[in-house]
Amino acid sequence: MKVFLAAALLALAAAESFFRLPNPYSYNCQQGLCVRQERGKTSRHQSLETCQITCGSFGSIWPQPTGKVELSKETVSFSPRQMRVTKAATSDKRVARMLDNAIQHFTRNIHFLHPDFPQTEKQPLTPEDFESLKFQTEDPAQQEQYRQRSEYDRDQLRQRPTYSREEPESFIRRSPFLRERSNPGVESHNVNIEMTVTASDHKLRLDTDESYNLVIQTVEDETTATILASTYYGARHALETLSQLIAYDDINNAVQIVRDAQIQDAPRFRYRGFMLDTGRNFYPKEDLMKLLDSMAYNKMNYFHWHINDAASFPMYSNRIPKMTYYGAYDARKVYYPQDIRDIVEYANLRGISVIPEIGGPAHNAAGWQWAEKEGKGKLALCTDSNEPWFELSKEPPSGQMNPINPEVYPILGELYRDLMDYFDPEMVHMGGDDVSFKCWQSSEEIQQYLSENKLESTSRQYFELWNTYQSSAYNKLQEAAQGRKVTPIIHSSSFARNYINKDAYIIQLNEDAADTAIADYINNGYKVIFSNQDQWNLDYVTSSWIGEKADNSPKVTPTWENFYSNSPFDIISDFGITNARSDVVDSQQSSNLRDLVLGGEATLQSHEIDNNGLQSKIWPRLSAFAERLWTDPTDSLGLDTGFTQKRLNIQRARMVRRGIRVDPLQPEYCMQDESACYSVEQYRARKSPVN
Amino acid sequence: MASVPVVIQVVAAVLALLPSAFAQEAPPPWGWACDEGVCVKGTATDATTSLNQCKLTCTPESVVWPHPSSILHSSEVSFFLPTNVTRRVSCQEAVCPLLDQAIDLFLDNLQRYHPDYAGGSAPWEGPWDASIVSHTLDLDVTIWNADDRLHLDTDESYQLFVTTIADKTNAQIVAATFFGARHALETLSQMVEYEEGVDALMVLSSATVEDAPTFPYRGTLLDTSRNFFSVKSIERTLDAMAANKLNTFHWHITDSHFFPMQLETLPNMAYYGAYGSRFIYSTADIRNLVEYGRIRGIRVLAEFDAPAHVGNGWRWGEGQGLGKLAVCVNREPWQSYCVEPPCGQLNLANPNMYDVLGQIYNEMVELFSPIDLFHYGGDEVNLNCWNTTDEITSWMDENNFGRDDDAYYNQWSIFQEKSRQLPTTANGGNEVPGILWTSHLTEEGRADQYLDPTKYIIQIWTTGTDKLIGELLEKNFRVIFSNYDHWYLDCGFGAWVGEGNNWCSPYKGWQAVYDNSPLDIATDLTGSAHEDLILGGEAALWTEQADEMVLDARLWPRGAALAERLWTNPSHNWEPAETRLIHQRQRLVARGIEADRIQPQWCLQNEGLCYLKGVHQGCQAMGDTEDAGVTKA
Repeated sequence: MKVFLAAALLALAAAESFFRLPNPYSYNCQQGLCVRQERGKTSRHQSLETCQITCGSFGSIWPQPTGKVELSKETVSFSPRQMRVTKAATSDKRVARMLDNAIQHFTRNIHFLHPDFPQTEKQPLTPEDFESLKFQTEDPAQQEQYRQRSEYDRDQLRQRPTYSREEPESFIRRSPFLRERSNPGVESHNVNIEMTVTASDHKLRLDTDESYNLVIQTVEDETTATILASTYYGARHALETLSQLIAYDDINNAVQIVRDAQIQDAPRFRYRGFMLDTGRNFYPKEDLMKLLDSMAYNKMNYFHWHINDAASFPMYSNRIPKMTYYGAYDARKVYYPQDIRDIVEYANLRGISVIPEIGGPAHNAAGWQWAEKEGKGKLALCTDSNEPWFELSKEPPSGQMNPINPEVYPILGELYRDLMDYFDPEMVHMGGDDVSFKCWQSSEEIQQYLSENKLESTSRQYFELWNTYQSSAYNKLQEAAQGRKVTPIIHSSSFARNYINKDAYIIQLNEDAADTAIADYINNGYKVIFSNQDQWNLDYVTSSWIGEKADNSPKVTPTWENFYSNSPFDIISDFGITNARSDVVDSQQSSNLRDLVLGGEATLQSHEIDNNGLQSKIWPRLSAFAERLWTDPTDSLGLDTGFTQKRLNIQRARMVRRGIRVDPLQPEYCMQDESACYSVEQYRARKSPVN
Repeated sequence: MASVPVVIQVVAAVLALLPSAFAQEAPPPWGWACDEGVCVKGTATDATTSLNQCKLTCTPESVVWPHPSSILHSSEVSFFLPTNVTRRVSCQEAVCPLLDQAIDLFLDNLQRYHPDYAGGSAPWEGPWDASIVSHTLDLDVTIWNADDRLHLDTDESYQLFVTTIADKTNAQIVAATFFGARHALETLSQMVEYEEGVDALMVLSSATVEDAPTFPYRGTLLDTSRNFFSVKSIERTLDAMAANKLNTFHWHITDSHFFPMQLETLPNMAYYGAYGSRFIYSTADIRNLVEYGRIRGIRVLAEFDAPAHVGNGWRWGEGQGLGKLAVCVNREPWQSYCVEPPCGQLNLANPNMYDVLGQIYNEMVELFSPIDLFHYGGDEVNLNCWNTTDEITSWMDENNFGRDDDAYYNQWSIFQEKSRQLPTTANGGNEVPGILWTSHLTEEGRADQYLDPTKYIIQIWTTGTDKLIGELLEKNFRVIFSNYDHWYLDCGFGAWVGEGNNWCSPYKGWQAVYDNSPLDIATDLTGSAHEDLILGGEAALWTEQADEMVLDARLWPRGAALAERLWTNPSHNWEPAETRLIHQRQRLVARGIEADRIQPQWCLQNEGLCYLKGVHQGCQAMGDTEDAGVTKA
């Protein structure tokens, strides 16, 4: 009967509109997977989206929460226009404004769920869009004005039906939800958001409490989402989770939310970072903002900005503009101070802290050229392109700081002062990788210095030179900080192990996951960030950029499973540092190890990448990485059965809806029938029941 | 040299006055000088030029991509504004409107050189010298032939002469066909660059180009049946193909996963087979794409893959009383019945299947008309599927066909011959060559047993060292190369079912794409290049792990590397082409294609310095002893 009905409808419908017919399929949650069936064979019709947000223990939340999660199996539909903030309790005005911004972003993401929302409009809010949100501390008059406005705004916030005003916010003006009516049955359903933030933190630090509590309750035609968090950062994570409990509802032209839910959540690691290199290729500001958005969708919280490299110096230095004049690729490829401040502020609102890097002594050439012409001697050595680069450095162009030129350090100090102004950073990355002793060895200036001081040209001497550079740079950094606490980060190396003070620095561990050097750092009490280059390096996908085969790059591409499976505590346990997991993770007790292992960072060096293609190179592998660090799953069940893949597919689709170009992992078919695309191993693993 | 400190002082003064606007106010510190075919970056002087101008005039022979058969040009440029382009054409009948549109595209491409181009136009603001304002670029195009459709024997050659006298640059294009003329326009557009300092375009003042492709078939395959690609993204792909003079867009439109093609006579195919109502190509979309391609010199080649690679979309037959049109659809466990989930294969035992197939071909022949080639797919048939389906096995038994592998291959080849009749009928009895993938039917000793070399072209997707290639050539099959070890663009990512990297890993870098030479492969295997049988090649983007979010980056600039192999078939390997390729990549980006970057911008600005030579020894030396080496990252 059904088939004939469909056939009749098809015959009647004009060619263009035939596909407006109801979807012929319905979805059932079976053992955590949404299984496709032809309609009519099941009594109740359930759309794929409804199934996805309610099926399994975690629905479609990514990363998986670490505390209690209860989700009802039903959803209620509502129009995004009927969503409002009914409470935003905080004692701090700045936090209140930050919450307002987070709500704007949240609201946009809900409107983006409509499949007809124009993809080209899904750009980061421009600075003008959130101009009014800036908090000026310098000017007392402005401050007073702000205070008054802020109180007024908060009154408005309490009263207004925020997102159903006659003139919607510019950023959702193009939302199809505002142009088309939803099913009248759902127009009367209200969704209230109530937020309470107890602390006044407005800057993320390593000790920031990012935990939150989220409760969704539905009584008759009203759904209330209650968010409790001690800091803004927990609250914005809660909004992120809330947005992941909402999906498009194609039947009603509305959205649907899980009817009732309770979630307690906090990250396992406090440093969940990503490093982008803007020195080898330039990324426009909007692309960086989009990157920050996408990191926030995965609750990542540190953006390590490798600003310059030997190839270019794109940061505009207020104090030494010639660095940029000579060092930028061209005048369009510069980050001006206002750009940087916008980015830092934008990041903060997304729950992300920015760590600037002006590294050394290697990876320096561009920008330093000006000084020799002004009689300051050579600040960077080995920049002469007549020498083959491979005799002097790891990659072209070669170039390394001149540690014995005293002019270097005051200039570094000025650049650090710029960093303090632009970033107000909690940590600064000082580089410390790929130092080439062959460069210093080849420099007449260095050789002369050594012989004048009756020193030999040995590796020990070069380590000493490196130490001269590093300790002077460190002092300049601390001077620039003017009493603020700024912690330097440095790459692991034999230099770091022998010279670096464990109490002053944090070490970024680049060693492969199986490298025993990792154990040395832990045993010696260094604070570390895991950055295993064989597992968490995002570079290796495409063509080699110098020559056909770069012998130093792996033959296989780390997949999302590699990113997911690489576990700092498992690595440590494998080295015999005992009970890492049970002591640290399961009991949740503070311990020595927990203080030392801050978290992880995935890295991208931009040899073969620029803003074209950035997003697909890093996502969704970075999502897999984010769940490792937020959730730190202790068994591999999700991977073995394919549940993790299914959830990652959904996260991928969600990010695409929000305007991020994420690599697809599977044919759409595998999303539309979650039980279909399995390996032999997954087939077997699924036979054992999973809740 | 004495002027250098002065320059610096001026710069310093400007910097002090205008800290955040320095870049616009101060002259660029760097300039480029041409030194034996290489643009060398150095301090700006009167003798240096912009990077763009240096690239245009200095690069050995030319920056045109793919490289023309022969090109000579001056090292002078003439500045002009894109609004000052005139056209004079000499053409016949249907060719004239095509040519008009091709010239419009040329003009749009000129606009796109402006770095602030957006939404169809660019802010040309000057101020300009009078000589720039009055300078015109005069197009003068002559096409002798009235043929407005692409065939395997279409003459795509052209001649282009650029001359400049006073304030007129004349570009004379002579071509046998529209297709040659549009290639000439493409070449001319690549002899133009933007000059930042004067906010105008510059064109080489004089040039002589004679050019023709090596291979008549230069293709890119896009699979829209695993993941959906919007019409816009396909149009963008056609734009990029045109910029590389590729001429065949091979559209693998349906598969077992997904049936996105709307058919007016068979609406159920898409209704049941599409991922959703938003993921469908309407008949109007398809017609528009065929025309969109034609204006860009591209044949849109339809593939309807059968008898395997069908499934979702064919399931409505039973409900309509037609019986099972396809068998093994979504059958589990998939590993037993197909190469990837979901399974499905046509039901050879059901005569109604041929009626439906005939209807499909009828519409496709019309939608893609007039067709000069048709792709039947024909890959990866799973005999176990048929041999475990009662309906098929009893049919085999009843007709005494037997049940061994050869019996099934025989039935498959009979299916193939019947299939070939259907579009021929639909095409008014005009036979067009059919293309088939290499498969069990083409394996050693089998191909000429089942297939007629005069009727079929074989598309090779084995490795480039497979002996099968030699055998096909020796049996006189015309072939198209898509050997997966060089020309599959989906390799090198994580496996989409299970762990590890995908089956054809590693990733095929642009160098591997560039160096894959069909004629060399043929010579290695048979001792003869078989130029008459090798129609060309095609890079394939299968899309289990790609959709429009990543389309541009997967295809480009590797598609450009392919294009030079097929157009120019250079005698050298990738190395001399590198500088030109990164230039072509920038050009694609300017045209709105999000092509992958292949090197730091430093390499674009410092030609020839991102070299490989010695890297291996260098790294080893550094790794051997920590004494003098680079410390480990």
